[in-house]
Amino acid sequence: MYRKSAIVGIGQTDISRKSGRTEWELALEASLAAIRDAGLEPSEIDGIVRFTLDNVNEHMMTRSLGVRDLRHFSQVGYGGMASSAVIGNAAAAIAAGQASAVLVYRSLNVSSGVRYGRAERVISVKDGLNYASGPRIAGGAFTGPYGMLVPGHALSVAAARYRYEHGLTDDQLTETLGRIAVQQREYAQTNPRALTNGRPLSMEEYRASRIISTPLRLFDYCLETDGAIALVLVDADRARALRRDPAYVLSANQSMVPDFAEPISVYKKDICQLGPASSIARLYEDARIQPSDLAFAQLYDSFSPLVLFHLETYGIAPRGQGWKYLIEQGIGPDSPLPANTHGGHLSEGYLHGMNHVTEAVRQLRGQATNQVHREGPALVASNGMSALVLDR
Amino acid sequence: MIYPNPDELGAPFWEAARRHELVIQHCEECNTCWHPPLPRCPNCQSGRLAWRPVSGRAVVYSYTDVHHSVHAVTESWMPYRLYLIDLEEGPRLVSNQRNVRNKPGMEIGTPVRVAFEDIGNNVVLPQFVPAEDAAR
Repeated sequence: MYRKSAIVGIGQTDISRKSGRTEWELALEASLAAIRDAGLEPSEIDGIVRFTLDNVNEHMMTRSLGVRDLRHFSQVGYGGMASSAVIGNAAAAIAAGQASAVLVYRSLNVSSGVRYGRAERVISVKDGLNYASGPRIAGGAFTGPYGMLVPGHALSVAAARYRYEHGLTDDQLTETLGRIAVQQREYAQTNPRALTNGRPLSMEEYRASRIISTPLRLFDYCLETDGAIALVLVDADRARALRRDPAYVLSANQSMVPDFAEPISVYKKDICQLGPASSIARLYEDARIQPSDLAFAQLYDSFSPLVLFHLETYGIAPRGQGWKYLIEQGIGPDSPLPANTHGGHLSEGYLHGMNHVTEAVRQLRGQATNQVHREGPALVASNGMSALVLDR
Repeated sequence: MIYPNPDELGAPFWEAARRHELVIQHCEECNTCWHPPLPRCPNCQSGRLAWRPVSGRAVVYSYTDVHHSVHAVTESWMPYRLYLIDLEEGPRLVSNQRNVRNKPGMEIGTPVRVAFEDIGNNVVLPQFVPAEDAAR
């Protein structure tokens, strides 16, 4: 895996509240842009890795994109937790010789279409009565009847538990999460792609925002947006021939162990730990780095507490100390590890983790709107279930 | 209300709740217990499983007060408190308290005991109340 493949193309649509177009159309626009950025033709794409959750299938793309001979296609489930894994699986397919140019995309109208922040998608109605089914955590048979219906509910109880376990006052937790939300909004102010560009957020405004579910406020929740994003990976030799600045895949992991085998679990012993330490140690070992070598990080942030939990899970701050790290150092441009430099899901838009990968690529190319001026690899982390280390 | 629509695996939990009994899946080989239910023991993978009554004694692991309704059915519940409850035996359950404005809630670490709430449609929800409260 180590440096055997690289991301050579990125593309995306506008991020909006209402695209007015089908997800298929959006996927095509982003994919064509990524293929063009790679210096390839659509006919050269011979692999597709996508989210299981995507409504745009590989057969839809094959018929409309100009793909001629698709010889590897695969999917990764678990929503946003797939965002690093789809890149990892593309890199694995290339390393195994199953494909030579792999397209990865995510297309979603989750603002104008089915909203992940609403529960209609998990509650069924029969004879006028509402039912919750199945083993899913938010809206399942054992959670839905009590009103645990959306991922935000699970993250709220996790944040409350963190406050209790580590002895924070309400105000310290607010300050911690506010540092994340306000910094990411500040990054978005220089990012023309960000939905919140032109709408800065002060700490006072953050603190005054309404409570959605304690202890989380409006600005602790990600945006709901429409848009699509795509990336192209090729093997390392071809990457060097195509461009001077490929983003090489140093390592990629997926992780599933029994106690972490439910995405957004409320049942695992420690709900603030995102993934098992052994898997994360191997991610860094495979990349031949230490966490302290990282130049920047892009951390999945459907909710602000996840940034805090990522810092502790991925060895950037000691367990229970992440909140102090955020208050004292933060994730800004001059912090030890700038993170979510595009504004993240909280302030750029919700492209389901894939905009974190493209931001890492822009940073490594030296073309980011909030360019980090330091050499070193990038961590892209997707909720403890998948992660990547990329470098030039 | 939102009613559980359990499959064959989860049905015994709700049947017991209807009788005001809290039962949890146990392994007859290694005595491990867990929730939510599984078709095999997560520890030894045995299929010799049994639903056994548990003490109903527990503590509050965490909670959130939900102020923003995400479905029409919960609009009349607002705000509601959503709990994670750790049973003395280990497994964790979800429970709630609806319409909690100006009502005392239970804090993290509060000792609680099971209580049963009939929500109609032949469904009884296991819920939790402070351990020192008299039986309701």
